[in-house]
Amino acid sequence: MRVRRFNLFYNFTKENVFVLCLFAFSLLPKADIHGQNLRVESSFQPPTVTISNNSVYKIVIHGSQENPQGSIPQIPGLSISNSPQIFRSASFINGVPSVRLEMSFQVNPKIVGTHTIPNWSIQIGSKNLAVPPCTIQVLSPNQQDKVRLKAEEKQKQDLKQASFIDFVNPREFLFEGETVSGLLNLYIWDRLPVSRIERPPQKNGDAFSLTELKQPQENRNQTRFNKVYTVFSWPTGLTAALAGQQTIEFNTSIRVRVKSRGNSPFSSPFFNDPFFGFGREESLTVKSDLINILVKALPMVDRPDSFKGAIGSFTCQTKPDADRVSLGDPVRLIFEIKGKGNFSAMPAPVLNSDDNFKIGPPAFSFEGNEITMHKGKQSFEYILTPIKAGLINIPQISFSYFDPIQEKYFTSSTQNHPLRVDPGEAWVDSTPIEEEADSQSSLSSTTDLFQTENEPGEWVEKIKIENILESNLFWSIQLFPFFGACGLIFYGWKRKQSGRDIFRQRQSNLKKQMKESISFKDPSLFFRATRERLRLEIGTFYKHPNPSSLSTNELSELLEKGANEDSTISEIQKVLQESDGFEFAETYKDTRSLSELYAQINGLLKKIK
Amino acid sequence: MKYHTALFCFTQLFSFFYVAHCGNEDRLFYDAVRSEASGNLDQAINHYLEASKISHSANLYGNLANLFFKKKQFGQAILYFRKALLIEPRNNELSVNLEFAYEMANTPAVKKDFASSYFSEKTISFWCLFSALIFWFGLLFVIYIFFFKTHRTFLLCITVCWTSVLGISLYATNLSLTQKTELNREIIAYISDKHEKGQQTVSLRRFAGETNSENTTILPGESLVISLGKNQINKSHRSSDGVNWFLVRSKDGKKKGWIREDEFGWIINPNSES
Repeated sequence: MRVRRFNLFYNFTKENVFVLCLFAFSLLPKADIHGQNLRVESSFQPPTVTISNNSVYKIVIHGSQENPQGSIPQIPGLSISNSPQIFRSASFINGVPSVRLEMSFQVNPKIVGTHTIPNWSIQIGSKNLAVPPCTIQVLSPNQQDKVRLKAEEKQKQDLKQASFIDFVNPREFLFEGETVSGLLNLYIWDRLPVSRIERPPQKNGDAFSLTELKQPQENRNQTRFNKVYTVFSWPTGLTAALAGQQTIEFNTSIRVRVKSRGNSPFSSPFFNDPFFGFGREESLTVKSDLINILVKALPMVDRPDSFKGAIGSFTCQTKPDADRVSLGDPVRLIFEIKGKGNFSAMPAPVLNSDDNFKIGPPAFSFEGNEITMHKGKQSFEYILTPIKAGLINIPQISFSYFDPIQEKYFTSSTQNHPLRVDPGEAWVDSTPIEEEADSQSSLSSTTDLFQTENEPGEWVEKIKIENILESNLFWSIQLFPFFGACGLIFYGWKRKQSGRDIFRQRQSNLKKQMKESISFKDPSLFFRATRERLRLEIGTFYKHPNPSSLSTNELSELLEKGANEDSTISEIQKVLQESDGFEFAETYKDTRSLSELYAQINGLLKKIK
Repeated sequence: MKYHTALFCFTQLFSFFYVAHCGNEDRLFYDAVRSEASGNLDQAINHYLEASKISHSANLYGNLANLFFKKKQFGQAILYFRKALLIEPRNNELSVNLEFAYEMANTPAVKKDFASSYFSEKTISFWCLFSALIFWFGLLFVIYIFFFKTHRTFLLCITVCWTSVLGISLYATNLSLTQKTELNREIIAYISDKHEKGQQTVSLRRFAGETNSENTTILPGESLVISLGKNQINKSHRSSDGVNWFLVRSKDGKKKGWIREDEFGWIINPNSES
């Protein structure tokens, strides 16, 4: 026996749980009359019902109004509601206060017979109380029940008859790939206040494909089920995609005006008073019955090679647009297929180029009902270019189809069309020269093709594309440039380092010379060293390849190229001119001492930018 | 003494079996040639196929393709010509035969577009070598300019040119590597013995099942590429009747569907060659 668990403080949605009005109860003061004995009663009201009627399982708790907790047993054959009605009451009996709590569960019997809810327990506060067993007798339906059920069924039927979809299928069964032209009718009862159809019908079922539904045709005053309907009809092409016993149904939604929710036409199946045009709108889903259609697989026996999936009843013919042309002039050949069938799934018959004609891929066109693509004329237009002069025949086209009525394959071939090709100018192939050269080489060597080799040649263990990345030699060779690059970097770095050392060495030598010349009061040596130092430091600063070769003017130019201040440049120029002047005139006219000049030169060299 | 005798016998036996085994593919090849000469094409094909399980040669696959061509099984003919050309890419006779087989099968040959011509799987070594040369020469030159010359603008120009050319060559290498990877998944569709007599196309089904309707059809000899599933593994399905199905697409990507394992042949068989 399964047991329903319930908890008042948790899980309102779970099945088999007492859904009590927790919010309402929490507002009520808890009542517990001390001294009054706790007692539980249970009963079915009424204890005997027919199967189509409901009963109530009532539990009465005397002496407490607290919310009980417990599990109600699940009885096969009885469906017990999980939303009890609860009633609390208090009274004085002979001057003694008395309280009680009543819980009523709706019971819907499912099986005829006697059903007993056994003894079970509930918890009130900290006390466990036993709920006594209780029995209900379910009787067979009586005449009244049967009449009521019938009325309910009729109500449902009438509601369904207000609006429904009907699919008119002209065939009892279909073949896989077969297309039939059907009619999808939406019936709307004239008394149903429909404002609009929200969408065209849609199909449910993957075993069929449906052509697009366009605007429907409207037919008024159509009588069915003794009611007058307006019928909206969509012609459509239905194609069976999968073999077997298949089902399909259609649905759509319509917009209906209703007066109010309380008086909705959905609750009144007969729509006696729909209040036309006044009120709000509601969406109503309209469905068709489930339609069973047997889809047979196409027979494999006697299936012709040229069969490409055409199913239906067809006739075909070819029409060339000329019977005499010059060599190279194109001829238009129209291959027409007329009849009923799956034109939408019909591939073009293959017409290959041969020695007489070069044939391009065909152009398609369809005349007929383009919505269903079921009945009409399909034309394939081929362009044939004769490549040989003389009386030649336009190739026949073989077309096979399966007739679903006769359940047989048929093959029809078009008639011969002789074509007179006059030798005109030589036809020139428009394909590129490359291709022509290739075809020439292949044609010239055709006789030498497919010769058998008598020796196996070199055997290889694996068929693979040689990849240099998988070669160890390739990666080994990479080491050479790698070491070369490393060596070059090292050498360059060392060279740069050594260049800086030489600079520093020469700079310190020149500084030393300048200091010595100051101590020996030798202006000749001082100015020579000064000029050399200026050349070295300015030339190196501006990365001149050979600083010692710089003249005074070149040094000035370098300084001007940099972002030096004019005063700095002029002072350096002055020092340089003095150096030059002393070298050539050997006179020192400046009143400053050499040590002051030394300090000035140091300061100037620091300002170089 | 007994030990030496046993060792001698063992080495003799081993040599005998080794030599016998090594000669198997040759023996099968010559048997096939003899069968072909006597007009027994089916037996010749069987011998060649047996030999191909042991080892591979361009002549073996060329002869096998010729036999299939003679039997008008153009799909298989194209497959084995392609295999032969993988072993001997410069064999002009095989190339011409392949072209003719494509023509006879009414199958469009694999289009040689810009990418497949200049960055085909065959050019991978060239592009790798080219990229390596560009990389090292460029790097050495940049190092030289950096350390031994003082022209910064020149160094910048050289670096930009070098990285550009290097990028292009690496892109080309990547393209050819992609082509090579695709070749490992390339298959050729053909009409097998299990097909109905007279069937001229191979169906690509919507789902992996015999009774399923076809998505599209392809001609025998058309190249297809196995699609990759999760973890970059070929997407396949084993049906309840034990048949393996593979999800494939055409090289131009326009056709796709499921194909049965006996309806195609691998150009590079992943089970044996790779």
